[in-house]
Amino acid sequence: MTDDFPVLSAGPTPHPSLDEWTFTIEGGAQPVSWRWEEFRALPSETVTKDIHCVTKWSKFDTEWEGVSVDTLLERVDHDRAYALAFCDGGYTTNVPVEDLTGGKAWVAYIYDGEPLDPEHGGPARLLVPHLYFWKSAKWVRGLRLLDDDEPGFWETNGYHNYGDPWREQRYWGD
Amino acid sequence: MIHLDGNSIGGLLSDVFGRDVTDASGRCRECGAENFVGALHVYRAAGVVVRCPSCSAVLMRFVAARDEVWVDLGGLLGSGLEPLRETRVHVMHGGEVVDGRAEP
Amino acid sequence: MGEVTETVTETPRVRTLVLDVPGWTGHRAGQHVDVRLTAEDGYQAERSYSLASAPGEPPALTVERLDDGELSPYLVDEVVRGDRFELRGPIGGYFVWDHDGSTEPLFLVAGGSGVVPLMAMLRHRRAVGSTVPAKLLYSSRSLDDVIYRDELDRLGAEVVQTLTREQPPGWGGYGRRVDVDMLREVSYPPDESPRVFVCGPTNFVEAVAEGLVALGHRPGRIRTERFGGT
Repeated sequence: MTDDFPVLSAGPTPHPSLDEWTFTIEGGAQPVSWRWEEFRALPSETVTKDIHCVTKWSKFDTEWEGVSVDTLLERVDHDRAYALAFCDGGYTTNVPVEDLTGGKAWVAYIYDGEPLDPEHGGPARLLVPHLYFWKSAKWVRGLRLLDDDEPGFWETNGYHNYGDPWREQRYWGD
Repeated sequence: MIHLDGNSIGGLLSDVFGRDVTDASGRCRECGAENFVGALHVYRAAGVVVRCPSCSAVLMRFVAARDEVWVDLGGLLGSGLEPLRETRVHVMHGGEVVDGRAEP
Repeated sequence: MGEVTETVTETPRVRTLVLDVPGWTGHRAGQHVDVRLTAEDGYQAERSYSLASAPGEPPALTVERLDDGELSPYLVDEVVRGDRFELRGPIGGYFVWDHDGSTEPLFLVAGGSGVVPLMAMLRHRRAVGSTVPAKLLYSSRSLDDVIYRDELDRLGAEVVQTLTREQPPGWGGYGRRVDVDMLREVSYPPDESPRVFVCGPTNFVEAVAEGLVALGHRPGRIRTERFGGT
């Protein structure tokens, strides 16, 4: 348990210019993309959730604001079952579409009332609170929708493909 | 983001390679820069990511859990580093466990 | 397992633990150990600590308390003689200096508790009677934060200090953060091919390494050891 959440990063902190920032969903009938100001104009939600990190800390009642993935996918014509989130810096993580929809996932840009800082994943990070936090990709820039599951950065190297904290699915074989 | 030096993971590396390898050197697959392992940049997240000091490309990845360790050396060339052939050491390439210890 | 045989308070925030480690086969100057502590609930935390003692001496760790640290408050404030904890090492073959007959001067730059592995090098140099020229540039916040204060004069090496926050009256050293001008004044010139070791917090190490490269030192001659937060 912790009051602050530790800064853990797989690489250098990117500092993308908001003028060039886009969020893109690939894999539908056509790619759909939003620029930063378009993205910020989308209806947003405030969510208060516990988060669980594999390094064993959990943080309770964190408050986020962002766009529900449901809202984003309304614009996308697809019937794909899997998604791969991709990020500045090259990080990827895979999540089944059904875990991103139904009010279970957001692309968050505000944390505790402040714009999400770069160290913690800003300008925007994926937020999938019911899965381990490595699935909540920092610096997210889009989702690639896929028919077949494609393991991401950590999932190709020992981390559990799904990552359910209640079943302690941390590593391969859990 | 704060990174550390390859030297800081000497303990993990000797678990994987059976000896100290921080004074071994290797080349980046992306940019060709040659560096000592001790001088590579180390990031700690869900696992350990070792990056090229010149171009930041991922050279090695380690996930140590329970008594096992998953190792991907796919970004490092010419180091001659051979992980121990032990059941607790899983050598990865492209998301698959590989048997061969030579560079893919 | 290592057993604490002696503790030395170095500063209000820093303590040295001298250890007895069965089977210890000796270490090289600059190496570290990984210390692992296990809580009653099974939670384990592991951190690296540099060895401060010269090779041939019993292993000694000098630890600085980080207020939000998981291990250091215990190691600095709680541990008493006779306590035991799990450790592995010695570790590292890169950030080390051996007395190997080379005559290249040794230039060491320390920020805060980054002085620990460099102290092992200077103690080693003194113990073997090496004539290799050696200089330590050591940055601390204030005089009270200077680790090994009394021993610095007895190392047989040139020690230059800077105090970045607070300088006592009559202070003869520098009174600012290490910068390129200071490095130019203190370091051996690049054409003397010094071996350079820099240890400290990440930002400190970045600044010093960049400064030295700007002065013409070859990056390959500069070995660094950064330490991060907790």
